Amino acid sequence: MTRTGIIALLLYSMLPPAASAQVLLSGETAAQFYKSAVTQSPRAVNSGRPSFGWDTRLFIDGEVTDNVTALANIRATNTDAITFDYIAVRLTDLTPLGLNFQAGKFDLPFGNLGERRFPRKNLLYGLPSIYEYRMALPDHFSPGPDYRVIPEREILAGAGQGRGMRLLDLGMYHPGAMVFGSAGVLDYAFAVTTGTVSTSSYSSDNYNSDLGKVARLAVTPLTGLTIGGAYAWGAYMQAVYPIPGNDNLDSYTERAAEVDLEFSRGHAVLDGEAVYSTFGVPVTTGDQNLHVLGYYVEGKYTLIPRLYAALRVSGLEFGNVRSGGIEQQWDYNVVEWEGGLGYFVDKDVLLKAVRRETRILGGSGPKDNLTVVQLVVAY
Amino acid sequence: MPKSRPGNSVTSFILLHLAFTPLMIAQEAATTEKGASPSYAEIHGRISLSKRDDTHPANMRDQMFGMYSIHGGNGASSLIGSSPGTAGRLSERAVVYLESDDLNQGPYAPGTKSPSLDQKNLQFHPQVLPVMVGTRVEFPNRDNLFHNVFSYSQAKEFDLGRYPKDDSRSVTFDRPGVVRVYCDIHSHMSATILVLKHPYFTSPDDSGVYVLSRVPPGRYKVVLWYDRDPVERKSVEVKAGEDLQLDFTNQGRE
Repeated sequence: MTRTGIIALLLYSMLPPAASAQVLLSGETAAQFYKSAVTQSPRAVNSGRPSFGWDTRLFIDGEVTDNVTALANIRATNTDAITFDYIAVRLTDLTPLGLNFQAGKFDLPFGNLGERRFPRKNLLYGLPSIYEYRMALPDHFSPGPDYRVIPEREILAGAGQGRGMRLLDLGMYHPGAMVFGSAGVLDYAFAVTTGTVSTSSYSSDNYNSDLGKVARLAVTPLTGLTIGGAYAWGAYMQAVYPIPGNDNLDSYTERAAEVDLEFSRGHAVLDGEAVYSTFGVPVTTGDQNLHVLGYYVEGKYTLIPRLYAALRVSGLEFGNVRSGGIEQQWDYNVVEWEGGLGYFVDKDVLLKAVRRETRILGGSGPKDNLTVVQLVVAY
Repeated sequence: MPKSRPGNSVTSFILLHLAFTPLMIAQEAATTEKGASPSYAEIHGRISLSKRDDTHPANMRDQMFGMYSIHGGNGASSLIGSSPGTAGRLSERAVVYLESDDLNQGPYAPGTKSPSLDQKNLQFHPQVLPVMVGTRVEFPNRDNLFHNVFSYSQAKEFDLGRYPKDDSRSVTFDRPGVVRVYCDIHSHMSATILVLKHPYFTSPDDSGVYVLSRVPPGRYKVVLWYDRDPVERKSVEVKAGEDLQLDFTNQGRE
């Protein structure tokens, strides 16, 4: 959408609402100073030069009736154009069981990232590596020089840099349709979308003939503890170049399973997630399945009013791929921790100081780090 | 058992009297009994805020993720939309109190009973709670999910953390001022605690009728506080035994 179109939409949203409708505008803006190590690591930001950055998000919520709402998230950053991350129409309480439906572009019900994808609720600066780190299959495994097995994706550059594909593509916003609801302590969701959890689509056009499917169940056995699990499957490859000997992209699928946990009590909050995914790929020696396990554990403790400390450990462990009689990992394992302090200058003004250390367990650039001071304002 | 000396008894009596007289004034002033005693005045009237939006919907942004218990929303989906709307009641959102430097001299003692600010159906009840300096306020959680009540106001900073249904935490408000209270988990939840130096405040009933009893003769500003702000101030002078009718129609909205 053009900038003019977005401005027109914003102006329209600020008009006095119709008699029964409400339109709420809210948002948040973050400004940060960051400095990463000078390395060849895909996690290096701006080649290690000290830099300032910003990002801003605008949330538009329209309540048409008690059961019909339209929601939109608009995002702009110093490295990206203006983007609609989320734009969906939601119908709620369709049945006595509380079934809900939404269609449009929305975040997939996979994992428990929730509002922590936004700077105001993100305890630290970056997202867990399973959401940001770009996995890449070495070029010599590719069937042809112009063909990238795991396609390059730089749609959301700025968070995780470099080439490759993320295990869970940042916020995982997709065009599609979804039903969700609750039954007692159980919550459920099922979504059909144009992409998979690793290949977010920012246009409505599908990359292949298949649809991504995601099913999720979560249970809250006691207050403060939610355990969830999800399964996603679908073709994930993009029809950019023909595949030698196989022109059926839909036969190469991603299958991902995850479990997650959220626990909180008193002044402590703990979140964790583990994802296991397989990708069917054509490599020079024939079709194979690539495996990867990703995880993170993240904790927060409020030390005194306004001040908290947070720590996250995340990582990726890769399976093997065979080529020419040699079997080796298809990418280097990664371990990353990110820790920091957050201070609420005011209820909606958060100052964070964060340090991230990344260890790529192999290759030539095993060490990387990032230091960030970020100021977030919500409104 | 040691025998108490007569002097001690007299001193104790005086001290007790000094201690409890303001308390009695505070308690009596807070009652809504009709009619002013000869030494005091009574101010009463009706609050009409017809132009105000009395609905208080849960923020749709919260709903966006709150309904995503599938995203770790902690069971909020079962509550969103189920609020009986009590937070829209005038009795929970309006307070009438007196402003006067003379009244602030005191001394007054807070009541012995701790008022409470409930968390129920993803809302605070009441939305405005007037208390005297020194009052301990309870924060019971009535919802089947966590809340995290906090305030960063100058008059009182606190963060109660997360605790389950029917559990409670308390805070003593030892400085006068306006305390904004929020929930760290549900951003649409907010309430205001007015910490006053004197006991001359009251909440209206749901029809808007309020009564300020046992008001000492003098000149005051009568303030109508609604939700987060004072919305109207009226200057009055009351004499002993006077029964003053003072309505608020929010024409003089601040």
